[in-house]
Amino acid sequence: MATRLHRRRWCSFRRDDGGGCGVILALLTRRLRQSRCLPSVVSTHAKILKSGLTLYPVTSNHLINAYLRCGATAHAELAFRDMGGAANVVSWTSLIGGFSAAGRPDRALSFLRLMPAHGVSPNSFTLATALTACSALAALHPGRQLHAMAELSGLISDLVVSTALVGMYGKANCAGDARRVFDKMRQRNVVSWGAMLGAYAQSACANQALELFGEFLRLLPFPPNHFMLSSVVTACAGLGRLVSGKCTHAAVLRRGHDENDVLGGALVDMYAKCGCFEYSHRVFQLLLSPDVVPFSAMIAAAAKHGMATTALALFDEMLEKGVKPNGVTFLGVLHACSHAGLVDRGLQYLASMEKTHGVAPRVAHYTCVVDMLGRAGRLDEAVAMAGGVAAEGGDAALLWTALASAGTTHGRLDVAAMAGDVLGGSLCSGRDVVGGLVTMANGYRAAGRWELAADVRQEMARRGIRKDRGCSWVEVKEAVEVFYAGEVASCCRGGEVMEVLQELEKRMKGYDRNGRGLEMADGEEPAAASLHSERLALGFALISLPEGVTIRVMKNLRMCKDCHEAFKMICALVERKIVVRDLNRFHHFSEGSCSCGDYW
Amino acid sequence: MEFPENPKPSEEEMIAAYVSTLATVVGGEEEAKKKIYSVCTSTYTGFGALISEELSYKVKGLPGVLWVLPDSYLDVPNKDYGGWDLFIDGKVIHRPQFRFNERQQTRNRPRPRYDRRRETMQVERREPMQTGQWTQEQRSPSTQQMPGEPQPVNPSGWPEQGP
Repeated sequence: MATRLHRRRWCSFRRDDGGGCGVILALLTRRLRQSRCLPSVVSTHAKILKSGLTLYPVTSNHLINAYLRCGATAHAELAFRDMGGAANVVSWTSLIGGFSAAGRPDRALSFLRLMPAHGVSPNSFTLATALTACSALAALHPGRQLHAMAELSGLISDLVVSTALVGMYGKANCAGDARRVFDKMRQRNVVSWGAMLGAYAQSACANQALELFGEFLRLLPFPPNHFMLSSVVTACAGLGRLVSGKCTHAAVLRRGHDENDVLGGALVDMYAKCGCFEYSHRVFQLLLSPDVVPFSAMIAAAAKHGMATTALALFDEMLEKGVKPNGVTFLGVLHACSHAGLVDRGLQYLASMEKTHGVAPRVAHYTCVVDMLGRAGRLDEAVAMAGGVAAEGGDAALLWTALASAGTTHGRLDVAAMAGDVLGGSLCSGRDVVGGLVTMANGYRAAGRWELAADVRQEMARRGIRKDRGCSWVEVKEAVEVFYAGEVASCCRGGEVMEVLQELEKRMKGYDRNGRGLEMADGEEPAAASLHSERLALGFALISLPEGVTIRVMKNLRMCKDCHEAFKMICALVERKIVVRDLNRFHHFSEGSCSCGDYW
Repeated sequence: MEFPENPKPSEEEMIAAYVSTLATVVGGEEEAKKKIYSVCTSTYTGFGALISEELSYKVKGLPGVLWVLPDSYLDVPNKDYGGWDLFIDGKVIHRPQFRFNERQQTRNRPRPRYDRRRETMQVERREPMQTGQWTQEQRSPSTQQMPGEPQPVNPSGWPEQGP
């Protein structure tokens, strides 16, 4: 209908000549702006050419934009080149933005580099668009050059440009630089705050994210949007701060964001990482149509809390609903099998990953399977698998640590030694190597091979690496108390904590569940075990939290056998539930036993 | 708190439910009315009450209660933009300036607007240096949607270059 009308008008005006040209052009331009698909743009383009009207830069720009909106980058580029010298800053900017949006940010940046040669200077829109392209690439080097350009041209004072700069530094993991730009901004809007919080959240600077959000709430220039809230929730998840996470959830509810899928996924993840599986599951069940992100989060949550059946059932549900799994989903599934000892099922899932679901396994997946095989004592298979994986750097360190740990646990020192060689070699690098070497040293000690343990410690000393101190933390109201192994003097309310722990020790000696007392691991001095950080944290929690409340302790290393046994007894003695998050998973202690079934 | 959709209870009924729920743990409706400081029946269905942490754990298991969340640590209720009303001595005092805070639009799909939205760009980012599996962060596609993304070309905004 509209086409016929248009054609009639066009025909009548054609006879008119002169003044009619402008009207035709306007009509065609409007058609371009309204086009949604490639054929319609092409046909309008054809009409423009056939009408014999000169293409003004404005019209060309509309044409370029219309093509880019349909994702036809090649057409857009041709139209751009047709413009020749008439191309202005709008044309260039459109091209940069269009290519970036079409998934070619690298080409987008190449256009930016060509601009000076054509005598066109970028304006604030250009810079902002180019910075967005850098963000997509997480490319720091061009980003810094753009920053320099912005400073020199004075465009940095533009709100959109500086916000885009914050976003770019955030995506490139340079939270410090992002903050410097943010602080210098004279005005900020919700996007700026969101970009800064996002930068902190994704650079694992969770504490700073929470601090910044606190500042925002004191100023409260406008309500926070869902993007800001999801960054804060992610920060709480990383730190394991349940109370802050709950407060943020409350803010989400009060402002009516609870139906947002992104926030839903973030909340599922946060509650899971903070040790509250019940709420995690509840958030998940309230989501109307969860996609792969919340599903993966929920599966991983169930896996970490030792609920393999739930995790695998969720995976089946996900497939039934037609949601496609991705790499993260499979990590959750494999962890579930690993923690529950379902080795053969785990191997089946690994095999089906690529074949059935088209997801290529990565080093992290293989590490999980090696860990699973190792835990179950199937070491030769574990070695075979580890050998077949092409890994390097931090990934390799984690892979071979898993193997070393399994080796020492099952008394296969040959495996441990081999893994140790790889760890100490040039293939592995980064901080994860430290964890690997410590695991080996502890393993050798536990197996009674002091000389090998000493060798590893010497190697570490030679390289100048120190192991992470064992530390645990507990959240009470809005504060977090941190405890380090063996440090009683500096710990909060140290005297009372020690009293409580000593009293519990006495009661435990009398507690006779299996007819055995509390066994000390070989080589551990009795005093050391009772001063592990998680015990100090537990003692503190017992005196600080009200009766009946579930105690949650977060620890940075794997829980030792000693403390694990002790916690089982303590929870029965004091009749309270204790949840411990260690390096790999959650332990839910209640009524004298642990959810991991002593298999961790 | 959770209420059935069909039939949806009236505002008074919802507030009565809040009061009676709290009453079961604080020992009476009069006490409950004193402790409740805010109510909402639109943006969300819930209430705010000033009670000890121990008591709050008792509320958790009551029927109809979805969430029990702390209020005061991170957020300052006085300056809130949420659509809740004050509740003083059993009476609801409406806050008209914040009343019409509509539910936020769900932003699951990019809106069909002119500005360009980046779809999922799975970026390989350098992982921050931490051990363990707690940093397996998911690259959620929607976290990259930023409202008010710079619009490089807005045809109506550029000065028209006349023929």
